[in-house]
Amino acid sequence: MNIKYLITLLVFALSIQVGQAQKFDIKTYEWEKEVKPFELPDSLKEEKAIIVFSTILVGIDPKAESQNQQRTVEHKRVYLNSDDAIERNNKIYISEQENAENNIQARVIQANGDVTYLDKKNIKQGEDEESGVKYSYYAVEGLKIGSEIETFTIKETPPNIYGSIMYLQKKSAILDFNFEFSYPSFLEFGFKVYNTSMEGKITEKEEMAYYLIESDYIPKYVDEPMSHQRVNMMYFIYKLDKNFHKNLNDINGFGYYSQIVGDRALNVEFSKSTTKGIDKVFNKIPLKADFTDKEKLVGIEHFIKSNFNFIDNNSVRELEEMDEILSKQAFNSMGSIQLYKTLLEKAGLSCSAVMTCNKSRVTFDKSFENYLFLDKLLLYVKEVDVAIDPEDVMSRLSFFDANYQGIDGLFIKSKKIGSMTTALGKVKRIPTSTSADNLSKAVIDIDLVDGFDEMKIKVAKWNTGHVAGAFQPLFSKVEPEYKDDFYEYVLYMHSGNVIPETIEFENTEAGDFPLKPFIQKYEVSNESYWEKGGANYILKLGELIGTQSQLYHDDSADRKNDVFGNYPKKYEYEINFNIPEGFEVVNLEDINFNIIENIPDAEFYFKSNYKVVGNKVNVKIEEIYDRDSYPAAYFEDFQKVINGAADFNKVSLIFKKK
Amino acid sequence: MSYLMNCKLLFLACFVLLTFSIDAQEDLAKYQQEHPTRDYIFLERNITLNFLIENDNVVIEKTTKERKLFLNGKAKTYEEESVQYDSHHMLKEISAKTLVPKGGRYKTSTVKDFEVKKTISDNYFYDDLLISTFTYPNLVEGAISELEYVQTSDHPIFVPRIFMTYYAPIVKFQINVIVDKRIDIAFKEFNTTEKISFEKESKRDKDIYTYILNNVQPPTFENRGPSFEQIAPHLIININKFQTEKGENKPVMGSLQDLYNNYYSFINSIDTTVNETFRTAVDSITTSKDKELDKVESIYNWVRKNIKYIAFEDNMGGFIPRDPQLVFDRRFGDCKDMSSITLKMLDVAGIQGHYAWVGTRDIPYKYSEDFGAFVDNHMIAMYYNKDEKKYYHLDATNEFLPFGYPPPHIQDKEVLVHIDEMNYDIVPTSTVDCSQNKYFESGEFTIDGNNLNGQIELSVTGHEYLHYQNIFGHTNKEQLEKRKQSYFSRGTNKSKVGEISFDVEDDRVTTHFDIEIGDYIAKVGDELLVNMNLEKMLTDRKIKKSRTTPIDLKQTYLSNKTYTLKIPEGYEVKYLPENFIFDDNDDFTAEMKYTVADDVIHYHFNVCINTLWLETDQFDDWSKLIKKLKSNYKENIILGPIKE
Repeated sequence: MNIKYLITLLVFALSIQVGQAQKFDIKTYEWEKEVKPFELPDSLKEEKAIIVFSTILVGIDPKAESQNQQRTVEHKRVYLNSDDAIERNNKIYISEQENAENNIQARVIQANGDVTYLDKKNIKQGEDEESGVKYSYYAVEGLKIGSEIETFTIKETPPNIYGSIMYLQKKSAILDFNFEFSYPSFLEFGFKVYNTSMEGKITEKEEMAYYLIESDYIPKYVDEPMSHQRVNMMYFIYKLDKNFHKNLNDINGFGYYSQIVGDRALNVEFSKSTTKGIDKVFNKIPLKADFTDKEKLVGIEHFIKSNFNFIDNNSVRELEEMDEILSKQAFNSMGSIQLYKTLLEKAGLSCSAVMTCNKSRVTFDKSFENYLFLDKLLLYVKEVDVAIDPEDVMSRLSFFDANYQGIDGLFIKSKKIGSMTTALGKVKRIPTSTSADNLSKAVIDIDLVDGFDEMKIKVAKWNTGHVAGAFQPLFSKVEPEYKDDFYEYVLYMHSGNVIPETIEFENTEAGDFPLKPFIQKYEVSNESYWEKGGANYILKLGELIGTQSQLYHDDSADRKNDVFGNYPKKYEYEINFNIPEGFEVVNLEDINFNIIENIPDAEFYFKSNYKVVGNKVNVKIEEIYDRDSYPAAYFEDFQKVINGAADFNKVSLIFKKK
Repeated sequence: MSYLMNCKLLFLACFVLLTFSIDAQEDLAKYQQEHPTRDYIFLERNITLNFLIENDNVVIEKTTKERKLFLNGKAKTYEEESVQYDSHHMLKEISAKTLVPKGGRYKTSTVKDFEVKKTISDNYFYDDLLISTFTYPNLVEGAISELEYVQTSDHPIFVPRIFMTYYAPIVKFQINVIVDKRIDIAFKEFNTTEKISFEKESKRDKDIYTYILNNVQPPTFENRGPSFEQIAPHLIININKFQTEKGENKPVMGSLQDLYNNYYSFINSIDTTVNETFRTAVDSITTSKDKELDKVESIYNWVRKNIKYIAFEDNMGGFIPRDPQLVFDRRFGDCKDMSSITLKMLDVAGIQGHYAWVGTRDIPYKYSEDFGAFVDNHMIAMYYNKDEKKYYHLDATNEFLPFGYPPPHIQDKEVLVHIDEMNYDIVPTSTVDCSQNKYFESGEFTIDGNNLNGQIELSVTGHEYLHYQNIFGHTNKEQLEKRKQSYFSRGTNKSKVGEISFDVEDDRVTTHFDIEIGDYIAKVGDELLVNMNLEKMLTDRKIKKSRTTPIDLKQTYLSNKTYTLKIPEGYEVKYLPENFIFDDNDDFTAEMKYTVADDVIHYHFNVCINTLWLETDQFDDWSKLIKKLKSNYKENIILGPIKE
């Protein structure tokens, strides 16, 4: 959600006259004219690249003539110790760079001291077609192993005061790091550092304040499986809190933000003719009198997503005018709140706006209010206790990107105080789907009546929630020329490399998701599920449940970061087979697994067992992860359950010839 | 114009508009029913190529007109539209509008703003592609968008191809070709099921060709199948020659010689002057080599390892190699630049090399078939070894392609080799024999309780080297630790891979590691079951019965696995799986063999894939091979206590 257009407060524009003329250091900072090659110490010889130094200066100058009151200088030198590092550094892209000719410098320092400077005429300009972001870019000449690339860029942009994030850690170690932020003393900024004990210090001099964070060594970030890299890196956030000249307080406060959402979306009143138009739309939604609240919500969500288009642009005000929304069948985020809220209320349901952020990128921290945490709009329906994503056309109910669930969000709802209607915001936890919602269930019947060579395997799979959401809604959209490939892909994603003799998909009509399970039924014969040893046979029972994730080789003692499993999930499998005449199964007990780990308030296990009736064997398997994340301290427990399933994957039953 | 005439025209215009309105309204329901999964279809696509003579040169004007009908409420998501063009096909005119249905008629909204953008390419570091972007106003269900644009080119060697299929169904597709009679053109059809019969109309100074297709469907693609160009019906038009003002015939692209003459003009202006540093570098690279071929190999290896691939497609820069000294100083370049520096280094070393042009395997044309400038898209250096009477391909764009190999993507193609100003050679690039692309694995295994433990040596050459090094060539210790389990585990993913050691040469990598495969041995009473098929190659390559197009295998290879298993003390072999040979088809063979000697079981398995394309008439044999492999992969060795 684009906050730039949502907020119209001109904090700086109104402050310009008050600031004192001041020459910032940032304006005179430049790279050294003479440069010496870096000598790589033995301790770093194994590293692919080393950041010799990184200096970032950000300065706010309220007296700047243009809107570009923020100047950012980035100065960095990287020692290239591998071909890989050369290839990562021989093409440099700089986003949103104006006046590239004056503001971009680069030089290559060879081990023998030779220096080559970037020829400015080789700087290209281009735009990323998808994001629309403009770039200046260039190829770096003369790089060899042992070369250093030094870059120096200056950017002048409008100040970002609503929450800026700065990552201190990179994938290469930094030997000398400096970040200095300078701003006039009539502004008060808040700073908070995450995942490190490093702290910045603020000094004031001549009506200017300087925030400095420095380090002579920042270790490289080492990734761990099933973790969110960016939120685990060292980073800090800064944001504007006060402008003393304007007497503005709590500039990044959630309260003010809630008011805006109230005024522009939650508390909008409609004229009679507009109300008629809304009624007309509402009457088109196929809602039945006996629908549950959940069915009503799905019906309305399905109708809106099938007939209206979400445009992520809050600067187009007509996309939040209800008459325009109805005639153009399109809305922006503010418009979506209005339309959903109005239609939901007509169906007897409530609707609050929820603002949050992607948990894989930044952690929502309610103690440090800023708009960086408010970049994604969800809508919360209390009666069903579910948040929905109005932007994701394919999702229904809570089956949208799980990175926005199970975390804090700012819940904003309309509130009447006396005769006034206002909006109140409160930080609460966004509900996630449950493991029972995200079910993967399979019944596998193996017919061994005519022996192993004629083995027939019938598979029926039921998927719900997130597990179904990746494909079920797409069936009604697939164009004929891609149909076969799509079917093959769906089967591959759910069942691996099987080529079935017959296949059937059920509940694939538009609107079936998520109320009906996504069903796949197929039949395979003579696949690689059995082996032979003379007259004996081995049934690879474990492989029938498909390849399982494993964490066999990760050392739990060293685990630093929490484990993220995307969303809670549950697996239920049932396998039925017969023991053919003349055979006995010698190791049925290998089927039994009972791995239950104790994590407070979490159901978390892998269990399997079997029953024998006559010559028929019935195997039941259950695996549950009822949380979407687990603290690092419980990694070993998590590993046991994951590896339990992977161990079951290797269970082979031996059918011994009597 | 008379008053009466004006009225007639007005009436006709109203009639046409009215007819169109009613038809289109009725058609919407019909098309919605016919195409339930589509958001839009093309009511019409119309491509006109107009060959003109201006300023004594041929100018080509391409006019594209299209009308899209939007079938559902998703119309608004298509409101952003763009037209791409480059310096060879500049955009001259563009107009667009939306016809919005209103009360059984259409209201027209015209697009007013077109913005030209320079985008960053996915394929090239820099190219000269521009896009004109615009927004269709008021796109709703039932609306029709109309787009018309004209591109011009004064490079007569680049006549745009016309593909007779598109990414959505087309109700009516029309091709018009208008040719000044002083221009001699030739039509070449590709992938058409029947010959295109143009309607030809001759006017005073022009010939007009028209061809109409109805209800054109998009092509169906199959995984790992032929490229769009290889299956889509299309038309290539070459300009053979044209008459100049003086009445002379000027050749353009009527023959391969014409193409070569154009190419020669791209290379004859390269400044081949180099400085002393360049020469010293060549000396140091070749000084220890006596034989010419060894020097060529050293130079090629230096270029592929030291010059990084960065691609530029900038106007004629997309065709002209850069000067070798510049490439040497920059340490990067595209395929043309790699050729330029390689050939100059050879030259400094006193060795003759050749510029050469080639099309990658997705391009279906041959030089001998005169398909003009579309025949190739890549440039390499070639070296002819007189002793062996053999050409060597020197394509340094992939730093891991060993000397002596063509890259996989130009196998089974023709290479156009520069000899001198007038002469060239066409050299076929054969498919590399599987025995040159080795993936050899040997292992010595012992049984320890339920575990199978072993030491493995893995050796790769040729195109297998290329792939292997693309994965491991740049890994450091940490990355290797992360990747080794997924790449080197054998038997099950529970196998524990020990320390990896690589012995990397210019054309071979040998890898050693220990492995412990936990819980791998099955026990039946006092007998041990061991399956030596630790990897089950090709089992995921079963072909669907409904498949109709060949499968692109990309490269050949010979995979060879030789394992030994020490029979534990007190045990003997109770059962050894049967040996098998599959040699029903010359293009793919397999053999599996078990033997016993001195308390050791020897397992030998090899697969040779010796073709790039699995043709549809080979599918049955392929299925037999897969079935045979699957069946034999199931077989376990049985070891039991020695009976006294």
